Amino acid sequence: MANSSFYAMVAPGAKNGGNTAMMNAIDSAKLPFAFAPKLTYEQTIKWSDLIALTTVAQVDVLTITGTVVFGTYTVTFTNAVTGALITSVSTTVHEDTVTIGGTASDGNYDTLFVTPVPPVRARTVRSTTPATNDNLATQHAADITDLVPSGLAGIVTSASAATNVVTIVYAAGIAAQNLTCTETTATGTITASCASTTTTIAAALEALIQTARATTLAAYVANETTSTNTVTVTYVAGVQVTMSVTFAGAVSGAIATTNTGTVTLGGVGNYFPANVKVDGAIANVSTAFDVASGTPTITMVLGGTFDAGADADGLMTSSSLATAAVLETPSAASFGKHFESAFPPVVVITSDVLFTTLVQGEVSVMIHYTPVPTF
Amino acid sequence: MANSTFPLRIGARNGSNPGVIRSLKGNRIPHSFVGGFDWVLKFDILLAGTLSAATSQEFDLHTYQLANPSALGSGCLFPANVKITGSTLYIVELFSGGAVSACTLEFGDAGDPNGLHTAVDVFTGSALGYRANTTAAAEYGKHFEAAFVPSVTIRTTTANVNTLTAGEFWIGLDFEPVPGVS
Repeated sequence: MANSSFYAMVAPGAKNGGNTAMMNAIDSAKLPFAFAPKLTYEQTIKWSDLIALTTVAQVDVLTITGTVVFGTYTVTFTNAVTGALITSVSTTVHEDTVTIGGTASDGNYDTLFVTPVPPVRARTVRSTTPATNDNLATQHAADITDLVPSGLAGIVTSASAATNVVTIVYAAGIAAQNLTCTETTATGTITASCASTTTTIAAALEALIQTARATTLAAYVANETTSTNTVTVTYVAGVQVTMSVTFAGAVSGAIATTNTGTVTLGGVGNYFPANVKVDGAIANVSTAFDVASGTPTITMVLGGTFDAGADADGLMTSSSLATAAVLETPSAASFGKHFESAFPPVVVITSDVLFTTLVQGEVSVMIHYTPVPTF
Repeated sequence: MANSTFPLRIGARNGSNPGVIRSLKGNRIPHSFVGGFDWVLKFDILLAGTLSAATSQEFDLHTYQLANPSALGSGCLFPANVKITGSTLYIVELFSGGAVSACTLEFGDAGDPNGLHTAVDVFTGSALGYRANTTAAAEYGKHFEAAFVPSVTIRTTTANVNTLTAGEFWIGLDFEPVPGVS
């Protein structure tokens, strides 16, 4: 016996004239199939929902760039919700280097410290001995060291030499340019520059933040790390912190913040049902997520723990919430129709602004599904 | 002339459902209603007729149903001219019997026996209840079938299919009618 037509079982009128007969057939239980219409689960997420999240994961990355100069480098943490100061940490650059370059010739090699009044001059005389630049640097470090107890007291704490370079360590708090270098002979050269780099400042600030994490930052900072000229601060889940910096000279500290909020869809009266076939997803950004000033980069993914395992973007890969639009990722790994026994949908929203700064935004997240027969 | 909007206002959740049903029943929507349906059948190995003295056997589910009119199921054959949109497998009793040491089930049709479900372990020790879909199976995606005759294939290891003494499952085939092909 061959298959018979579905419509032959319902009523004449296969096209739009058949709807009445179709519905009557379903309603009267005359149709020998389980009626399983495609349904849409929906939940709206508003900007205010993100502000109310208590599990926001915030990570700030401070990148230090520019030529380091003497001065104070400060990182301040404030409560993003209340605006209250949490704490500040500061490091002061106070190392200098003097490099003996060129071809040393006989004559006077001077370093002039201008901060003391009157200025202090450290002089090394070359007359064949010391014979090389390296020897000259060693002697010059010794001559500066000789001045530490007297003319440079409170200014310089030590001076040492290695491979043509004299490193001068200033007393903490010395924040201005402290020396000039002159060379009185024709063929040798002597130059001075700051010994610290963006990497050393990053390391110093990271160490200070780590210390503060045991006290004033204990409730806010979970961890911090440094890599070359960056400091990465990971905050305690749920806190919202504003990091700011003040740096010396033209040195700049760019702060990139990443805020991640996780919203598990469903609640009393609107849980995503168990034992259904998920059959695609779509989201409607009816109001773009925005802040009072500037344009945020804010995105969402949709996924969760499927029967086959966790996949944060299994139904929708990263899609922007910064513009009103309808979002869909048909190529997402679990977008196609498939059975799920107990799927709690999860939306993860990532932003480069604090959620507390959002002033508008609304997205309706929809998951299509069909029920399956119960056996 | 631009497209006009759908003649009914659909709410986000269930508030608009009664109105949609009324409009469909009253034939006030000028398009064909294409609901999703499930053709379902309960298969019991003990009702499957003569079992094969080999380690695999394909069962034509139309033949099975005609031979077992009392078997729980849709009460009819899988309809012609529809779009298959997926499948469902629910294990009621795991397969076992004789010296069989493993048993798998495939779902498809004669042309592609595992086109809807590739080998699913249904032997004692595996899970009861709903099973995951084989979404990568060749025939799983939504597609038109003029006259699809569903079949299941049972494969055994160590001993033949005819030594099985237990095994029962529900099989479901999701479909949508195609109004213009009746």
